[in-house]
Amino acid sequence: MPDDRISLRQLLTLTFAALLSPAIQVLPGLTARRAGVGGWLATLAALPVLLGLCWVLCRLFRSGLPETAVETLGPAAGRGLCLLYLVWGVWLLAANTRQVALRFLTISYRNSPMLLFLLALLGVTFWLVRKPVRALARAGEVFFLTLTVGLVLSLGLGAFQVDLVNLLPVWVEDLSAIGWATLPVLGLLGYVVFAACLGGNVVPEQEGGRRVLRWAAGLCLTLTALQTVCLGNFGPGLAGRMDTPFFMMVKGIGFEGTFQRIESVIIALWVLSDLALLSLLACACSQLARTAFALKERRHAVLPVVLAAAAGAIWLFPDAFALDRALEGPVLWGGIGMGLGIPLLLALVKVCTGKK
Amino acid sequence: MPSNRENGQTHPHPRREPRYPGPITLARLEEIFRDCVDFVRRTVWVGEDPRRALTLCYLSGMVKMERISDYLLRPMAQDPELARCAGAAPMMERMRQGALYNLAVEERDSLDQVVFDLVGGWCVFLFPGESTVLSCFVGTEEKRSVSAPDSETVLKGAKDAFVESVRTNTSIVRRHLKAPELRIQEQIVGRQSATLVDILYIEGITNPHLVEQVAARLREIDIDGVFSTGAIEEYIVPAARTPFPLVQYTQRSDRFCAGLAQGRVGVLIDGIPLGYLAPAVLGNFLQAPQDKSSSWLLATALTILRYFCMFTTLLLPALYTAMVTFHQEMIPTRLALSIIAAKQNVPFRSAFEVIVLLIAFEILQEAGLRLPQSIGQTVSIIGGLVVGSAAVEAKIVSPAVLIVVAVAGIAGYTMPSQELGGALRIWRFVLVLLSSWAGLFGTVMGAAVLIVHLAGIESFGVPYLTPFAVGTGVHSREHVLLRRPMPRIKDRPGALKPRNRRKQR
Amino acid sequence: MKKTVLVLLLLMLLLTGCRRYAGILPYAREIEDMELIRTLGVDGAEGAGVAITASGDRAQEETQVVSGQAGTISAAVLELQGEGSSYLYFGHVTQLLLGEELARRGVMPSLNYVLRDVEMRLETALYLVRGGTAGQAIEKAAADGSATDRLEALADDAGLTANSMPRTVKDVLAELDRQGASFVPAVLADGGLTAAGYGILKDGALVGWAEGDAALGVNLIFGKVDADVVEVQAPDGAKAALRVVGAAASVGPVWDGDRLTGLKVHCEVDANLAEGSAMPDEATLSALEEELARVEAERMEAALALSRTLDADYLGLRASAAFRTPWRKTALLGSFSMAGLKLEASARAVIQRSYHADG
Repeated sequence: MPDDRISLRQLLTLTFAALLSPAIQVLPGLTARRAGVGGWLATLAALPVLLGLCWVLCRLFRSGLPETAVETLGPAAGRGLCLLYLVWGVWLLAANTRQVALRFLTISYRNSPMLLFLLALLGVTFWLVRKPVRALARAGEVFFLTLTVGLVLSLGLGAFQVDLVNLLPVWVEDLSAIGWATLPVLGLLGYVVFAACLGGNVVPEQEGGRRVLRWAAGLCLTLTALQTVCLGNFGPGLAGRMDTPFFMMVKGIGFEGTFQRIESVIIALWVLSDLALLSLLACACSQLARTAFALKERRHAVLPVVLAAAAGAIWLFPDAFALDRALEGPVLWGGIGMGLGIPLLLALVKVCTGKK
Repeated sequence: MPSNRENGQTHPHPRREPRYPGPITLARLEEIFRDCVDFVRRTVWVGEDPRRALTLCYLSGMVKMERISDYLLRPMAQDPELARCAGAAPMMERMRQGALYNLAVEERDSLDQVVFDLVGGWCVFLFPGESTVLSCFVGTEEKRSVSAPDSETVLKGAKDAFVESVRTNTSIVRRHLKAPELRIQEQIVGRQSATLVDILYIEGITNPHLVEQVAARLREIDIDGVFSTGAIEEYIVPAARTPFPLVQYTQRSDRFCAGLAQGRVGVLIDGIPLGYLAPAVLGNFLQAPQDKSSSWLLATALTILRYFCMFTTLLLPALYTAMVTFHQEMIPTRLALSIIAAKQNVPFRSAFEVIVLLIAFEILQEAGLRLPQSIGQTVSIIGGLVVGSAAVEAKIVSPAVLIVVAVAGIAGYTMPSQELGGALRIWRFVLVLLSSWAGLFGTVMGAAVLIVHLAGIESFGVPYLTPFAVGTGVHSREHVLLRRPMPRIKDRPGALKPRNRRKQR
Repeated sequence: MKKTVLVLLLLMLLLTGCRRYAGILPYAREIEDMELIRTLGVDGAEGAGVAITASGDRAQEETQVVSGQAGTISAAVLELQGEGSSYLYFGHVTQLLLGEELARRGVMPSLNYVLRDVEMRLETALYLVRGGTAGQAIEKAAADGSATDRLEALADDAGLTANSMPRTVKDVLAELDRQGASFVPAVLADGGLTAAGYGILKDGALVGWAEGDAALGVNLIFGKVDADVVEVQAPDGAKAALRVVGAAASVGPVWDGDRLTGLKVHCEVDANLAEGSAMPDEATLSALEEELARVEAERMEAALALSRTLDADYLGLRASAAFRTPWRKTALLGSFSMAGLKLEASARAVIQRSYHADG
């Protein structure tokens, strides 16, 4: 769409803001459970994979994932791939919406407001994604700015309470465990492929590739800092038992007598990250739907996607335990497969057909 | 007012085209201006010859008597060449080409033009037997003298503010911007008011698409008359969709010219002593004109303070409501205990208290606008006493709520733009309502909705959130939070897409 | 568009009224309808039940002490709610007292309650009540003032009492996970809630007390000495008072091949001369320093002896040793046992200055 151009920087900030939402669910809980004190190195270990993935996505999906799939695999197989990603995306959207709505219940004893949170989030997502993509990108930038301030504040104050005994020593014998702990991080990175679906809207830039790689490094460093502070505060055993170690850490920071116990503000701030994630997923799904069903405009596909996600969020997961199991199992492996495996395969196919 | 056809002036488009059809005759003019006591007509003998009698028509009050006498009647009476003319046509030609000492003498052939000339301060000479007439500009120059702006305080800078006359305003602008590339296009807006609206821009710097956009929107306006600023403001921007201001106005000429030099388009309206600048985005409304006159460190600190005040006025009442009703752990323990003690016998719920006090604040503000100076002070004392002390002592409201609402209100007054302050006041209410239903989740959802709303607005193609969310291919940021020293700002703001990016060495 | 907005606003206005039980909106509570609980006490009751005692702050009208009893802590807390005159809010609880009997049974249920509960937080300070129940302690303290104030004063002045340091639930939980044992400051169940050393936890249950010299030793090993006056005999017979102002301890492992046989704890003690001879000479100073080092080493030995006898690594010695020698990590962190190890303590004291105006 000629008048719906966004810049690479906007897409990257939107993705960063969106990734912060699942990041605090996965890190450092899952990594601590698998690797103990070495868990915080898992994100650093995942850095080469992320760099490779970003390089592939940058080269491959200049015009967006749906168009590239159709180009490389032909119309039938390409549309089929888009459909596959669409189903995966809607399922992820449903799971994440429910997870986010449940998260806000952690400060309340009752369960009934969950429906309200769910519908409110999906309502705002629907409104945002119906606007042109550049509005989503601008909103994403503002969300990113706000989240950065919150994150820097929390991590900065939390760093004062880090106990090094919880983080070290890490020695050679931990390396295999760290490798095993990298898997949740890779599952998390599986969301990046949805940003590639918006690649068609991005104005091509000269230094684009380098900028993406710098962004990937920044993301890894931020996630490592997050893990370090959370693990350092609690230690691997305790962190593994908590639902969201980051929010538990925020519960404890503050200056006595000036401000303390501000975890409600940080939890509320994370709603912006959730909105960024949900709108990124919804926007990518509507792009995929447009290609898969050959619709004229992206806007027509938004309502069905959001309704499907709402239905899935309300009925697919009967309780929080099923949701947790889903997030730690299928989402993780699906993320690795769909987010890393298939783009690599697509790249291979493109290279092969290109050589012919 | 001299009309210059080369500047693209268009005559007003009446419902019937032309508005007054028919030939130009005295009877017709008398019929059009019947029941107008200021319509005057007299006969003039050229060269004191009764065979050369012309009819002079004018509207008294619109013309300057001395001009007619000195520049028109005197040569007509005293010029021997005129008296010797062989007929009406050569006499008209002679008079048009310089026999009359007046600066502007035009020949008119349509009744429409003659009628509007008369209203505009021209006087008309009807020649016997001729279908065309001569029209001379002799209008009065009654207007306010150029003085200091009264709604914007100028501590350090030029004090020549705009006045009601658009030609004087353009002359003030020309005095600040002496570049010959300054272009001034004129349009007429309003069927009954026929107001002159000028579009100013600097050719070679301003994006021509922007100029065309502004001009097109002005051309589309077909209203009765321009009697308030809203008549132009609400038409050139989609004001129905948002309470946030999308054009910036100013009374100060130096600020107006600085905006033109940045690559923005200016609009001057006859009868309104304000200059409009388009496009205008959020960053523009949070910069005070004093910033460029104070030291850059001070300006930076004050800008940061202004942003902080913007967040305070928007979020403080909502945060208080959320904290006191849903998230009581956030309040420091001692403060929580004192709030509990203070609220022991207050009958109302916190959310209701906050909303009532916000409304009371708005009432006080509105009342203060209507009252003359002398009674205004009494009202503020009564307001302070009644709302403040008595209500607190009678335990109708608690002191904490009063402080919160007062701080939020005062923070709102630091906004350099009244319109932005007004929009923030509306959103403040919305956020308090949301927070009373759903606590901090409601507040943040409200803030998210506000951000999404702002992200979707554009002012003439420039995103409204421009300093924070720039569009494609734009890198340099000027004076967002940090006002860099002026020698370091080398480029014009990229978001305006100016033709010439570099503005200093 | 305008109609939808109006309908929404109307709906919102209506919902504000019928919010309490109509459910879809989050539950709001006015702050003046709350009583803020500051101190919580948990005791064992008959069978496997628990008895909870809660008290507010002195700043509130009167310090109300409420108690309830049930099979689990959540049920007991709900019973408490019924007793108070307004809603009891636990979001500001800063101290948790555990009775001795309950601690011997096991502290994990209480600590897990703090971890999981919506209103409680991990930064709550934890205390063990020695020689009584937490309920008795709170009630007695409420008689003249409130338990909260006493305990807050205790925590604030912790540096000035060298045999007690404040510990939070987070610290204890993390240590129990990491090394299987931990220690918690103890208070007596008299009206003044005096500090009484530490209680040692192993595998989530109370197994012993560290008092007197052992408690001082614990503080030394953790470097939490802010002000402790040690009286020593100077060589010329006069008594000198040395104020210990800092301590830094390090743990080193002792190996026999690949097997860990012992741990050496060495402490660098920083002291000032508070009372004594005005201008001490070299010999006096070094004699005083040696004497101080001996006293401190004895204290640390007492603390280490407890660790060995109770077979509980409550001081985190293995983890500290692994921190310094990470290449032997598996051997050091493989087990929690301390019974078979030889634990030695040594100290070195340095007297920096004296407090005389002319010194």
